[in-house]
Amino acid sequence: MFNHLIILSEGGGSLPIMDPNQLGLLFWTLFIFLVTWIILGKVAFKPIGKALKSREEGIEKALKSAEQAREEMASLKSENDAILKEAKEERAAIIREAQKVKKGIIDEAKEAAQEEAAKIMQRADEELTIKQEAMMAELRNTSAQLALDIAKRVLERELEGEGKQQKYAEDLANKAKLN
Amino acid sequence: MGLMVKKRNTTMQWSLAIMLMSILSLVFFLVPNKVQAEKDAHHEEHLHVAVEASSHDSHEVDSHKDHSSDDHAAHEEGFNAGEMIMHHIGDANAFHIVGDIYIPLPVIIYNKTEGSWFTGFSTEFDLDHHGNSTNEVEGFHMHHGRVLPIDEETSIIDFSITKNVFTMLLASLLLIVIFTTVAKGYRRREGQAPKGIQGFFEPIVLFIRDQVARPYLGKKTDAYMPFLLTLFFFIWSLNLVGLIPIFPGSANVTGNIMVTAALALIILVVILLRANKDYWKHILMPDVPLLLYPIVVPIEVIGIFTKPFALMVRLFANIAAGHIIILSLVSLVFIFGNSGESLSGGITGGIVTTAFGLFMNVMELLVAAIQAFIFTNLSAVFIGLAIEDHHEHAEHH
Repeated sequence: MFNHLIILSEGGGSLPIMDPNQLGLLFWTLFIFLVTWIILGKVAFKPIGKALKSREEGIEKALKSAEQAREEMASLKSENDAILKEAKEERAAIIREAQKVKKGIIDEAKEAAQEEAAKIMQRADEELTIKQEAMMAELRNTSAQLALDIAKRVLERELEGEGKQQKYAEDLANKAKLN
Repeated sequence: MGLMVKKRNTTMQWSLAIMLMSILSLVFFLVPNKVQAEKDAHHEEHLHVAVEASSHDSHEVDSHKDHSSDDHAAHEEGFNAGEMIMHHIGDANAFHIVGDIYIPLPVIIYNKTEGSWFTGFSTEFDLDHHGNSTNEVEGFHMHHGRVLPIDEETSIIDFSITKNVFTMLLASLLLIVIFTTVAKGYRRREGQAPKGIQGFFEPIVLFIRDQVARPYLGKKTDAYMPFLLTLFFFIWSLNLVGLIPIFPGSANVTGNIMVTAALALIILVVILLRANKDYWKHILMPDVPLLLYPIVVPIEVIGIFTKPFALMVRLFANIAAGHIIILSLVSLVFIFGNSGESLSGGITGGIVTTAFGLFMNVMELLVAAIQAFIFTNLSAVFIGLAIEDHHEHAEHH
């Protein structure tokens, strides 16, 4: 059934797809392809190529600027870190200073308080001494007064008659003369 | 909002284009029908005229006579796969639809012997379903869909808009419409991500640029991109249109050696025009002892032509083979069914044909892209060899 195919292909020029007499088809192919090439090149492929290229360049640029931005961010971050560190150190220094000051104030206050306390104690001591002395003096006075009172009463009982009074007075006078 | 309106506009454009196409094809469809109806009435008469007119001693006309009369009955009964296939993969002056319905195409023939032009329309010939005409017009008749001179001594060049030329025009138009739309997308969304049809074609364009052209053409890639892209899409679209089994497809364009020869010729011209000094030095003054020149130089000179020749044959053979295989598979229905006599055979053939035909069609879809890619890739390689800087070349040695 395929004999005909073989005969056709063996028949040389009779194979319709290899017919050398179809130069017209060659001409039309050349013509159509060239026209298509010119039109498509001008209308489509050149603009498309340019658009693709400019877009790629744009993307590359964007990527580069993003990279740059990232680097900038990194440097900014490190700067921030430095500032932060400095600030922390400063804070620590301030706190240390403050503590020192605080301690100084407290010490000073303590010292002052102690001094004051000492002064107060001294003054209390002094007052106590004075009061003691006063009390001693009073005690002495009181005891003298008591002695006088007691002597007066004793004498009053002893000297209840006139004679006795006289005699006592003479004795006293004698004793006094003897002195 | 603006985008929406634009979108609607493109949709309208497309639907308009489709409507126009349908109307055109309808007109094409109806005209030959009418003509055919009138012609059928005089069918017998014409047949005799044709037989008488063709009763010359030439072989070609003899075979024509055979088809028309003696063999006619036998021909109707028996199915000849080889003839059917050869008929279908060949070029034709009328676009066969079904039965004796043809889409008319312009006929422009240069008569070399007489130095005269014959122009007309393929509807002037009364065609049967084999593409044979039953009448003659100005010394021409149609045989297997081709307009041929009745006198075999007459030599002609057929400049007609044949089935293949028509398909090429269609593909070219399609490419222009598609890629202007794509280019519009780039203009409208400058610097933005591609969308729609633009998004479909961009990876292909980038593939051609980065994988096909750039490795061989280097910095000169951009200058050759329009050529390589046109080449790739031209071949690919023709391969694909050829796979559509009905009008406006089915033409075996890239499986015709004249078409691939024209493409190869263009590549040869591009290579020769763009070749640099190093290329010519490599061919005419190669780095071999003078004694070897008589051998090496002719080989190198032949090499200029073998490269495009290989391109020509590869594409032609691959696509023609694909068409022949699919048509052979389709033939199985008629062979198994014994041309309609055996129903069970026909059903079996149908099942086998559907299975294998589907497989082959999917395969051919792949082949269509692969052959277009190979053709473009090798073109880039050959151009790259011709424009290569010798400094780089020297380093390789």
